[in-house]
Amino acid sequence: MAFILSLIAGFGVFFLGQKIFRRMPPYPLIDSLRIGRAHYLLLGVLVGMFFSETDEVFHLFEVLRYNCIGAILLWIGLQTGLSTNLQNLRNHGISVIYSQTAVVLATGGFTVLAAFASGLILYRYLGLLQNLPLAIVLLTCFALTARFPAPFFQWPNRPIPTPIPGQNLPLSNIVAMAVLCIAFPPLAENSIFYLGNLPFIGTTGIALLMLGAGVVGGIALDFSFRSHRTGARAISLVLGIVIALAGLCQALDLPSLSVGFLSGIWLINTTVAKREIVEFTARANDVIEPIFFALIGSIIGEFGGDIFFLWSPLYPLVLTVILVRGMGRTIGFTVSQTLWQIPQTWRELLVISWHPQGTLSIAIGVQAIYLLDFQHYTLITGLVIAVFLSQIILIPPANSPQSHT
Amino acid sequence: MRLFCMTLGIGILIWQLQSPPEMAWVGFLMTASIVGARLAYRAKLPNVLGMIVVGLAIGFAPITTAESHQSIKPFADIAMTWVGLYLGTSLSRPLLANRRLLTGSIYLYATPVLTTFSLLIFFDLHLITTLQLAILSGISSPIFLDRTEHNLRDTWPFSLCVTAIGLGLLFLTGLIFGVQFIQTDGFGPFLHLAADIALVVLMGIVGLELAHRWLQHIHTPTGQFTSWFTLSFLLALASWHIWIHPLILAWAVGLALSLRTKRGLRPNMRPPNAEALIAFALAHYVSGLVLDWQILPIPPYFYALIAALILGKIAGGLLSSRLTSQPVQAWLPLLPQGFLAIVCFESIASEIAPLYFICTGIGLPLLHLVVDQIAQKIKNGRIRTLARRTQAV
Repeated sequence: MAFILSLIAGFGVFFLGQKIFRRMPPYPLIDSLRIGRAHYLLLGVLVGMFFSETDEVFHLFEVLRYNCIGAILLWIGLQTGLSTNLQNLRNHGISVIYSQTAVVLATGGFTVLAAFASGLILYRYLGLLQNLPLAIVLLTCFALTARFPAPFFQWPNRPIPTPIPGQNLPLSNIVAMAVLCIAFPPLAENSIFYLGNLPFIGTTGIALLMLGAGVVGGIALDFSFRSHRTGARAISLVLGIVIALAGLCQALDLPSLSVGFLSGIWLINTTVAKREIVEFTARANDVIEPIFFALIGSIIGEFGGDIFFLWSPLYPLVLTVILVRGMGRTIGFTVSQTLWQIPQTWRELLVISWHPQGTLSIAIGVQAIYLLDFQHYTLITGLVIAVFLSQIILIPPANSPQSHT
Repeated sequence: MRLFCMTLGIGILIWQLQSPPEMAWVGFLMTASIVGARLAYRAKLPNVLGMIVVGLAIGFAPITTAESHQSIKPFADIAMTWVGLYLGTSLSRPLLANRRLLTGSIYLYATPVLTTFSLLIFFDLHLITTLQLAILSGISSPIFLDRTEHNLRDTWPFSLCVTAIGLGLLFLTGLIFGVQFIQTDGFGPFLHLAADIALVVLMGIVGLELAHRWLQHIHTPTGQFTSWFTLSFLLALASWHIWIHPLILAWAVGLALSLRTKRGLRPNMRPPNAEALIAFALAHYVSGLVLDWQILPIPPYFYALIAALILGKIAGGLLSSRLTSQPVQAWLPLLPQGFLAIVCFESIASEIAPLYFICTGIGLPLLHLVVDQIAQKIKNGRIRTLARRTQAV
């Protein structure tokens, strides 16, 4: 009964929010959260809060949720892989690539240092049970990611901001995923994987298995897109392949994000139907992301304050994550400004240094549930909250429009 | 061929894994059934037949176990709910207001029911079971029809009306069980049960009204898919709570939502035809039937049931053609029994459900295809003869 009431209340609030949104456009800070799908997370939290663990259908729901999140992680990895179109990357100016590389190096280095320094805190207060190196890798990947594509906001009484060079180059996301792909095999908790009677042992074996799964997934998706480029049949086949691949990743304890990423890279760089695939996946993303956020919200809401996370270390964690990432990016962009004049102004420096995080960031945080052992998920909750807080740190554009040379 | 090899590859991978996880099974069933549909399409057979055959093949395959099948049931229930919503929302008030269609449907439905009842009454069966089996025999198969492909306007609405009449009557037989309950347990426990049911119905009405208001605000395909997926998920959850088959519950909800609006749901308000979910639901259900199949002696009433069903449907079709001027092609595709009928049949006579499904779900569509081909050839021959005569003149 409580669950049904929570559902009705949740939908009522959602409905009201939608009505208000239709009447008047939201302020950029709220709009940023809306684009980040925070409302779906809140809906999930509300529903999860009233879904009792003693409920007879809870077990079925839990199985569903765990598997669905696994498959969606693979989908998000695939999306990131699809943005790794080598042809597009070559089209960007070399100075933009250098600038992004500097930022990636600075942010990565800064995060690794911070994570190493707080290793004991991870064990004592944030619920990590073992495998600190892999946790540090995941934290680094998390800090590297940024929201892509960057949305534009119409600020009241301000001109529409002009795009900053390199703003729509997802290099940091690509590097984050590449780091996860490279670092996972040597740091994996299980060093032996069996596929039937065939053992995959050690770093090389696991790397081979991951690469194989990714490439096979990419080839399978390519086959399905060759048969049906658009329409319901294409959606069905792609969904089937993604779900089967996610199941394979779960069986072999591989990170779904990395396998999806490798599949995406293969697919986008080998297929003849690039534009159709990108458009198709973007459309499907609009359905998949809300489901992902609602499911994550239901996990957080369900265990609120009890087992899932601890309140006391949560706020320092969130602040630390935001500050470390912001400082790393600021240092990187300062170097870039000095050497390559990207960004040109201090306002632009602030804008791109505090560029918010997005779905991929949350996906990396959630991937930790599948790869690491935790006593409680304070770390994951902190990362999710940090993402949404980063989305409300927006710098308004200057009063006078500027042009880039 | 590429897709077939890919599906085979996924199957081999699952076979190689010691304990394949649920998602691998879901993905495999989904991909395999869609490939089956594609192969069937190439062989000029209905898509659904391909999905069913794949489900049968997976059910008989050594890699499928009862545990793995049961583990993906929650996913299959969501897919079933989607199918139910899709079928339920297809029937609308304007369709029911069409007198010619309704009269034709009543003839089409009543004849097989009467034929089956009058034949089964001679067998050693409980009266209520006989009545339920007869009611089910009139139901047809909307799912076997491809709405985009069949060229006769009335076939799809016919099947929807016939199914609605059948399921409505089947629901009314539940009242007989209510009377029996009062006779055995007294009025007190019945009141308790009735109060529980009333509460569920009340919550259902509130939920339906909310869903209806929600659907009116859908403007994009994304919103359409997300909303219906959410509704399917919630209905699946509800079906686990109240122990009603998700397909039946979703069909009823879909019908109620559709009848709530004057002219039926707008195209962008209706659930989209998600082939993946339909394929997955069918393949999972059929493989489950195969796994539950026990080699038992076939009861004597089974043959009578099938014969009465076929004869009754043909007679009903002819009657409908005669009285409402429907062409034969409009009712001939309605010979096979559909998914809804099989699901209901399983709860009445589960021991012969697989056999019943093979006869009415696979045999009859094939029979219809053969008849259709023969009719087409005869028609073509007549046209050719006429053309020759015209040329001669």
